Amino acid sequence: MPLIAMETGRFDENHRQQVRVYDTPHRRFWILTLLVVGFVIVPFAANQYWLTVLGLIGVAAVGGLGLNVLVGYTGQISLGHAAFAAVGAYSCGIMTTRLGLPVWLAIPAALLCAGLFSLIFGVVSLRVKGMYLAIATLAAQYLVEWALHAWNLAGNDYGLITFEPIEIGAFNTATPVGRYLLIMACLALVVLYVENLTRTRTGRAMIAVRDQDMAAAGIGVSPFKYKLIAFFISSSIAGLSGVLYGFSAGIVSAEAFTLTLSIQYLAIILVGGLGTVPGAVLGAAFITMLPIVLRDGLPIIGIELAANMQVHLLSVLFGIAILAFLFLESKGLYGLFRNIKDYFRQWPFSY
Amino acid sequence: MQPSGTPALEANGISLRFGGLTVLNDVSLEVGQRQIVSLIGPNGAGKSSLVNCITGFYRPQRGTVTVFGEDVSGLPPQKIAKHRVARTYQNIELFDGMSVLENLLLGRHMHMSSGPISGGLWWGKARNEELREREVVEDLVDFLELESIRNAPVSLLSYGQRKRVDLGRALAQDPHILILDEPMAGMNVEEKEDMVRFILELQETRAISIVLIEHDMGVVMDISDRVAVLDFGQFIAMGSPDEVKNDPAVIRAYVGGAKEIAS
Repeated sequence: MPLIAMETGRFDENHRQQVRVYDTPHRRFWILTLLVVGFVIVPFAANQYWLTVLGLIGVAAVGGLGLNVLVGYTGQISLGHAAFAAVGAYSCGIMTTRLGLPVWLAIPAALLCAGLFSLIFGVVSLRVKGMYLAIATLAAQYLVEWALHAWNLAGNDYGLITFEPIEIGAFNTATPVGRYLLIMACLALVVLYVENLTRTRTGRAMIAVRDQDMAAAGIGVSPFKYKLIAFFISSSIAGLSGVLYGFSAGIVSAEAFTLTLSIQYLAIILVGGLGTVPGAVLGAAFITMLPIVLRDGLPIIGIELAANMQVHLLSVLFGIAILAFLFLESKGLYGLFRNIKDYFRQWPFSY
Repeated sequence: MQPSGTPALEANGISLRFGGLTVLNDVSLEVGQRQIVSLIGPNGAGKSSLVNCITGFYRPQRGTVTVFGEDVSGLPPQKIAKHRVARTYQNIELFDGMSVLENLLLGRHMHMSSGPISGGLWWGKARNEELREREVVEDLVDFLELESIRNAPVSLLSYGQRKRVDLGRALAQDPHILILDEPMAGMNVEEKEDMVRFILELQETRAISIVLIEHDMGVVMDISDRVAVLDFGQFIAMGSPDEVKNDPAVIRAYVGGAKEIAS
């Protein structure tokens, strides 16, 4: 009876054992399985199509995790995360393709650019909250879209910029497997980073600002400072998502980073579960798979839709999904998963 | 150690107005080291406002606040907290999304130093610090008898338990001055006894100076070194519990007097 027994018989002997993230052998087993499947089995077993789909999920998940640091953990809203992702992607693209800087230097520099750029809007959060902050960050969105077209940063009128593949020994992002591995490695690092962040001093202070900013000040946490830190971290991770998108697509244009993407990031964390790490990943998978399931799944059950109908239906389903989660399960997919798990943990004696 | 002559906390000539409403009018308060000073007075007298002025949440129009002789007037709450002034709140302002342990660990925030990089990488320094502070917090859990609920989210706790966690978070700051805003409001006799036990033990073992706002006169008169009575934004009496108990102005404020009825 592994399900019932998995959390009993735990006797931690020191604090180090207590603060472990993956605390039960059961959980460690699943994480290990996930890593093996993700990094060993999938690259060999999956075809190019699925590698690309999983890559897209990974890129979306990195972006979702980034936004989650700000929205889910610090309680500040942003409608400009696509812009921060664009700053990351374009800084990296310009530095590698046009200035010829090495990738290992360009990627961190690009994340720094995205983070620093977002601080301009972070400063606004000192004065405004909620709706007003959302509008202020919306300004970032339009500013970046405009700047990409107007300033001709990419060197052509369309705001197009190419990404040269990364090549280290046998590892090459010109191949689907290479791209997939790059994205998944980054995703794993970001997951680990956010997970660690939120169980240490800085992350706790962010959550304190979210829950009770006055009381946070009362224990010596400067709300403004931690809002800025959250903006920086969150946007740097969004920038990484942009960079990864660039390397996986090979070329980016300004059209990839519109307001729609910002809203998609919000949808990811709302559907997945605000303020949880697995939630952002689940939400990314859900939002990315929705159009694919719709396109490939409906014909299987005998419904043929015109291409333009598909697009409209997708928007409708998108809206319904978000509404459904807001009404029915405010903790998102991850909350749902936890409920199911809790149910089975006590099954069949749920009292 | 600080010179024993310096008062732990000194508020001088505090005046606070909200628009045309005078909340505090030239109020001065002195708390000696290791003293328990109680602030009493009818509802709306300005007790919580005075505390908010001392801890930086309100900015009084006039007056100064000094902590162990250092001027902290006009500083924001997070800076005043660094002078080892901790407080609890009348309406319990806990971080509802977190567990008891995490709330207490947040009290340790300013005694820790890891940043987003070392913390996010779970590096040596951040890790050692987390484990070290975890032990400090576990001692508090023992002291406040929170063992069975240490991992529970605070939003699920009972009122009395939340009050206790609120106190725990303030204690985690390792304060020299502790301000308790109605720590016993809404508690039953047993819970009040526990709370009084905690407060007295603190004063004795940790050498903390305490400002206590409380409506339970039995408790106030029993444990205070000095009692200050606030009414309509002004101190109407200050002194030992016995002096205050028999002060005609205090009796008038609480039960009314001939003069009041006449006017």
